[in-house]
Amino acid sequence: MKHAGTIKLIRPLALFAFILAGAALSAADFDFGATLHNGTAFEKQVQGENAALNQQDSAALWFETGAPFSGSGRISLAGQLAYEFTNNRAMLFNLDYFRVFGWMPGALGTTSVLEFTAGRFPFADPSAMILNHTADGVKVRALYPSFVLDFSGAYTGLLLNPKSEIRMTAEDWSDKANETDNAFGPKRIIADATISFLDLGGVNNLSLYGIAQFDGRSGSKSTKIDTQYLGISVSRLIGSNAYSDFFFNAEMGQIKAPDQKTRLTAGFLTGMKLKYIREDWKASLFEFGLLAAPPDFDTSLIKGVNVGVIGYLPVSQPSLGINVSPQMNALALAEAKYSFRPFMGSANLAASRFQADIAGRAYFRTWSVGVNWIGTDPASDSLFIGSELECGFNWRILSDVGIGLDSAVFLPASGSAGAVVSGMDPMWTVRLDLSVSL
Amino acid sequence: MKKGLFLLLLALAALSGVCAVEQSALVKSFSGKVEYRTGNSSWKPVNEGLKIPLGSTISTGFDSKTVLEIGTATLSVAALTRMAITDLVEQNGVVSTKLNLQIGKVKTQVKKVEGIQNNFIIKSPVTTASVRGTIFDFDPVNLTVEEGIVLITDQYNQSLLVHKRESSVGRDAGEILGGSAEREANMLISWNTAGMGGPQTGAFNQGMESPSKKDSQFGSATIRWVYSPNLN
Repeated sequence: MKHAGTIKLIRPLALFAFILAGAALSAADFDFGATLHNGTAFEKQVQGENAALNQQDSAALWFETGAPFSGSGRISLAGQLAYEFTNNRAMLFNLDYFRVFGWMPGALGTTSVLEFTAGRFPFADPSAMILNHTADGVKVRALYPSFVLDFSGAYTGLLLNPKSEIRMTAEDWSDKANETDNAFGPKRIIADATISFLDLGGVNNLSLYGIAQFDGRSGSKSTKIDTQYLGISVSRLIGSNAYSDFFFNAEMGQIKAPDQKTRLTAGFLTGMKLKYIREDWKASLFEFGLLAAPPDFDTSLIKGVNVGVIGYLPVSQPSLGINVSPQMNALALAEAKYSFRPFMGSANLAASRFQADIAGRAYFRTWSVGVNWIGTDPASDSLFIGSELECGFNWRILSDVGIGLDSAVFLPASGSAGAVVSGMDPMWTVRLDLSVSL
Repeated sequence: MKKGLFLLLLALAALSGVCAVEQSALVKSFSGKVEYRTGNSSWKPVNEGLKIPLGSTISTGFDSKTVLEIGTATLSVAALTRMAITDLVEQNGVVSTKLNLQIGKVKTQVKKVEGIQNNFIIKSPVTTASVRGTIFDFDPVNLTVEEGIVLITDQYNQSLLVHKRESSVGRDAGEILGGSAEREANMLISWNTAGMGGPQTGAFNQGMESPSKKDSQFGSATIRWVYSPNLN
């Protein structure tokens, strides 16, 4: 009898659950599409070699679906699979991203939002100069009115080798060139914690963050490096149109080479950026930025010291220029940039979506030492390495059709004015991109 | 008898827990042509002191405006606005207000009252703004916060807390940006039509590598949203 009563109770509950599940399913939205991209670059990027024509074509299929979750929350699933063709690789299929995202307002108090993301998706620190890369992992974020907490853990060993820019050691770089033996990129485990304070004493955003990177490379003949980073990032609004950003990232590391004692290292990177934005001046954006990292400093000459200062070593390599992209060892960079939309406000909508930009970058070494991305003259005391000039445009002809042209020339500084050995040719890039959404 | 009384009290307690008191929007002032209708009824002009019931839609004409009082919130409804009151109840000290802003602009001031929790949400076809602060301007796309903090959520329920002096825009691609990033996103053009393209970029890396122009070297990933005045 009792059993029958339980069944009676279960039936309506099951029916209720079934109705709820059906309602959730019917409430789910689903979107999908495809994008096509062609990138053609004619460029000279290596000294002593002729200019090369590089081609990159890709087709990507994407989807996103979501449904209400836990009251006023929401859960969504999104993914993208891409096929890519390049000059030296006829076929590459890559899972660009695949992630589940949950959003739960009020989960940690009435003024809070709890977010979680799991799967393959981008990870980045507030400065994006330690880590800015897709990886497989989990991220949890708690948002409160005055501060935000972020915790994430990621693994990079499942990324395809050609799609991984996680390159920290010489072996990482040599593996990049050997795709036959290395299907996947370097194995690294990353843990990240960030707290961001909002509207704190005139500062719009103050972020404190720590990242730990563990080298998962196996084999007794491999050099491994574990690194830890502590950083601070400060953003301020100055007046009504100017913004200033500042960051400082400190790095510590442990290099474990075969048959050698573990060597401790330390380095740092600091930077600032000023922006001036005027929508009423044809959507003008003025930017000025500085970056600086120390050189390697050989402490083996100092008896008893086992800590070496090295050039800044991020987990993923940021892209600093168009034609050249130096590693941040003994590097200082000054950049100025201006972009505007000359036909902004025009009755022709397509014309109003045309944006032109120019930029200039000056590269310096921060000490009279050799750098690993260009030949320097040992006899020169100059710190100036060279300058890069850039101009181009972006044009969204239709909402689903976009075109971009980028051109840049790098002029090495040699002779009395520069640190580079004489005889270096200018290097240049002209790149055309076309993107279509279906 | 005691058992019956206990059950009665229990039922009353349970009933009080689910009992919701329906509220109305009070017309504090208006000028020009301001009308409302409930359901599919015909449009009627408002007058001062009128209580507009739940389920009504409010419409303002050219050079017209009205000020509404809804619970602890004061709404200044600008000209050429159409807005529906989809939820307006008080339950257990929580005032839930949901407005559907179809077109136009409203300025909202939500007072903090001791003992009352506000669940104040304005929804548009593109975004949803819910109160964490006090004063904000909102139209179906743009949100500007004068005081306090407002949580804005786009059609994919991706969210951003927008603070004093910041503004935010919901966009079809599901991105919500704030501060300088928001203003840059409004101005900068990208050739990349991939709706979810590009890895996250930070305050420094972004400008240095011209992300609006360069295709991601990592394939097409996601800029879900970028948070805080200058990116987070």
